Amino acid sequence: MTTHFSFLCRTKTSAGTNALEHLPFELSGMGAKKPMVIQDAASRKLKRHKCLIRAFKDSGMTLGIAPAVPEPALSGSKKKPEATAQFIRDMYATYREKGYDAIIAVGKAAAADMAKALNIAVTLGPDALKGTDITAPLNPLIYIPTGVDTVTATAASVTFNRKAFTSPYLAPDQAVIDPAMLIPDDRDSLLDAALFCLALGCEVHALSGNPPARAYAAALVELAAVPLAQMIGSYSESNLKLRKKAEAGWQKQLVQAAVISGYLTDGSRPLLTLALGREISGDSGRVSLGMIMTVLLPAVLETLGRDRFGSLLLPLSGMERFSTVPVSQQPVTAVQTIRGLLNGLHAVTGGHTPRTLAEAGWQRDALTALAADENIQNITRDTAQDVLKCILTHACDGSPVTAPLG
Amino acid sequence: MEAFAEIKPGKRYLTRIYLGIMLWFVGRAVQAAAKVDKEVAKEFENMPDEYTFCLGAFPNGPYMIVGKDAIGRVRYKGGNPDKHDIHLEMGLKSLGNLFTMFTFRESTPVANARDRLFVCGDVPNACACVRVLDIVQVYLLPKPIAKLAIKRYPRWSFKRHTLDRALVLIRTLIGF
Amino acid sequence: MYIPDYFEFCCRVKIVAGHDGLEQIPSLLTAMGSSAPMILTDKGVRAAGLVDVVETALGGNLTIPTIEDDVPPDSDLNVVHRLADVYREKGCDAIIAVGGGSVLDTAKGINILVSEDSDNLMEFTGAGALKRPLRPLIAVPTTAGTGSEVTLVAVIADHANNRKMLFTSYFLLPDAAVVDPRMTLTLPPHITAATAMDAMAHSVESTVMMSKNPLSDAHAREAMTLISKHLVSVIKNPSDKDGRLALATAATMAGIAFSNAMVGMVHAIGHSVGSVCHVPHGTCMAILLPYGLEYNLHKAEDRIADLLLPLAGPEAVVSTPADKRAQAAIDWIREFNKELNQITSGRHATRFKDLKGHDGTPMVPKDKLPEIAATAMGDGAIFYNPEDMDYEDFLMVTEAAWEGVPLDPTRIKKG
Ligand SMILES: [Fe+2]
Repeated sequence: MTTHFSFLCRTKTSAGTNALEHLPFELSGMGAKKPMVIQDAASRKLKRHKCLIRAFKDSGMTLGIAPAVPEPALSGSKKKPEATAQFIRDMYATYREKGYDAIIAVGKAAAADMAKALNIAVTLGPDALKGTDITAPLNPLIYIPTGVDTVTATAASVTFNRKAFTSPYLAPDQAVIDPAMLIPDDRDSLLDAALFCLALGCEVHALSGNPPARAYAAALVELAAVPLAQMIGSYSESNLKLRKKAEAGWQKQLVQAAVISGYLTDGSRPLLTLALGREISGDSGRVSLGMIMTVLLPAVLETLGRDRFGSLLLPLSGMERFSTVPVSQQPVTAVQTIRGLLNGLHAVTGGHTPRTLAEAGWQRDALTALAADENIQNITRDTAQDVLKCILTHACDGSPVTAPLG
Repeated sequence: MEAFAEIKPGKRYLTRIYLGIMLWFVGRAVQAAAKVDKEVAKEFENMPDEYTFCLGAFPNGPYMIVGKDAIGRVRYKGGNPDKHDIHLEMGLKSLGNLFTMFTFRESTPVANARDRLFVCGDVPNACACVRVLDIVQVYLLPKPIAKLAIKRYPRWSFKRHTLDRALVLIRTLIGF
Repeated sequence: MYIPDYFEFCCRVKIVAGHDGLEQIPSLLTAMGSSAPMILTDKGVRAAGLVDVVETALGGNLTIPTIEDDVPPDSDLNVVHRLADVYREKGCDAIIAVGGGSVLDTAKGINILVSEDSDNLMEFTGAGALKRPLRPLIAVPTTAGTGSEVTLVAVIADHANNRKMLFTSYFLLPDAAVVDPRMTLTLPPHITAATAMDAMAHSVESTVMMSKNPLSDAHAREAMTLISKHLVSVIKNPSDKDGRLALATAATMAGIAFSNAMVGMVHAIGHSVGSVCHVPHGTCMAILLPYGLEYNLHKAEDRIADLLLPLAGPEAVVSTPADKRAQAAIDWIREFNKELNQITSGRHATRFKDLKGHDGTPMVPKDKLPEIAATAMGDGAIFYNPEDMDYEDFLMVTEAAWEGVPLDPTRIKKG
């Protein structure tokens, strides 16, 4: 543990059977009586709000069901910015006119981000969306995921019209995970989410030295590692019924992981797998974000963690295995475990998933150039160029970092 | 684009009727047990006169109200908390939660562990009320179901299991 | 990993920890738009010079309208009302609470009154009476134990009517908990041991309770690991600043774990011994912790077995067969208490029988045990205990803890 740290997660997590049933009680505890429900297109189409209406029976509360948010929404704000702005204007007007006092976002990150932006407008006035510091709690905001996502819906930040807002008060007051609200995700999305959560959790656990963050990260790694190993193990399961059933179980666990991953991406600590992963997967477009982050992970751990991240082996492989490995071998074994997952996935997919950045289509020269890129320096919060170069070149050929820098 | 819709979710009438009956039954059984069972009587003795507690669902019931009257007798006081001075409120956070509990799919301790319960009032008497409700459940329910509803099935005397149980059931039904 | 069918987890407090923790307070206040904090503390904390440390650390940039130290050992309704008036008169806009549970409870009470602009605290008793955020409140704990800086309840005594009022709301949580080892640096070894064992009890009990969940478990495990690693060395070397920081951090982490997963019989009996015989809370926790595990062993064997790793380390896990690990974890806690007893020259007690008051008389006379058992029957912590307890059970456990002998397994009723 380091000699100073700080940690804040303002979001309450509630997860499991009948989670929706608690919502009227929770909202009333926040002084809200009339929530507005914002959904993404998939949730609106499948009428997930009907579950919500059922859970609000006998509560005496009124719900407003908004039209689907325009997609792709804020996270890919290059497209359709007008539709997004128009949606916010319309909903702002309705919220104010009809006396709504809270927002429930249902869906994936698109719905959550829209709700965050709308919450800025309805709490601080629409002009606040042109840019402002958010220093006090906003109106109540609940987020209900309908599936896994590698854009963190629960993060304490949002980008609207290319303006980035970061404040602990932007995070939802509560994330409510109810299995009844889930819409089945396909196997590739589940895999991507598991890899995303694994990489993020491992990096924070190994490198942050921040006990509360490590606690969240340990839970995140455990929640992701178990379904991931199972997914690899039963990749070629051909019985459709069995597969669907298994996928539903993994989804339940991975949605919890995805929600927790947002708590660790509040911008208060640099996350290299995420920053580099976004840059790299965004450019190739061929390989998913979670995949790239996990490919980067061993090099990130070895370069920055040196030999001090042995305790990562515990959430990664469980008490039995952890206890049999000597302290001196714990870091190596942790990295081997991560590589083992990548290699196992490579084998079961018939070589379709990359184990290295080279297999993901990257050339060493391009990566060296990337390490020197000004933009990269910005997003990795001034991580030294030789550190980035060390990470990227080792991730390129998958070789271990034998002589860590500095 | 779909239109914006404002919806007032309705009520679960059948659920409310079922729970109303169950709560009526439990309330009268507490009154009966206070007369028949020494342990229950003792728990109530330690509470102040006119002490009244209520069990129900947030925010609109149904409820059952049980309490002591001015001369210390334990009474089932009906289902309307607004008519009484309530000293202790034990509530499930939703009607659905109460229904899950009264269909024995989740015991009181489990519902409590899952944050589905809230208590407003003084803690020692809340503990006593929970013990009373546990005993009443053992009286009312067949052993396999009662075992699901409480933490530890008590080892009672043969008389308590048979004669006292019959007395509690009769008194509950006819209400004296 | 145990994932319950349904769970809730929440800690809305910003944890700011470090050797320079106190120096972060001005910027925390600025970020919340405050510039005139009231410092609230008690006479003991002030006499120990800790408020001076805080004042120095805050520097000259912050005006502190007033420092109030008139907080009784258990918070009092009249004091809350009086101090709320002081807050208003002096134009304060935040509270920095420096101290333990009662200081923080008082601060929460004041914060309700000044935020809701009320002069009657009674309007806000119970759960959920508060509907909106309160004014800024920063907690600076001065013992590494209670975890009250991250709990959402406030208990305020109405001495005139002889009752205790309970306030429960997420809005009562402090905005930030500032964990700085300078606040615990001067604690004598036996108090360091007792308070750390309180934190240990929070983390251990929370992982055994019915309401445990992946996030509370992760916090608890981190706390246990820090305590078992650092406590002995800090007691041997009290000025070990890094060790002090680790223990203080562990206490806060344990507080987060237990405010979500709750505590059970160890606390039920412990509160009762505290109120009947005035034994310090941490001492009760150290003595009772092994008994709490022993009693619940048949209901929570797996959970107790999982404690062996964070407590005793990987070697102990490898060398103990799976079916012996729960017992080994219990034995480890007993041994740990013995070691603490030795390195505090016997001042860390391992059974109630040995506790002596200032005048040398026994603190827990044997004839008080029935009263202790009866009082424990009214403690809410028992709701969360895996196994049920009646008066007989409470008495049996208390008697064993008084004598310092393990529980007789045949006397534990298993339903
Ligand atoms: Fe405690």
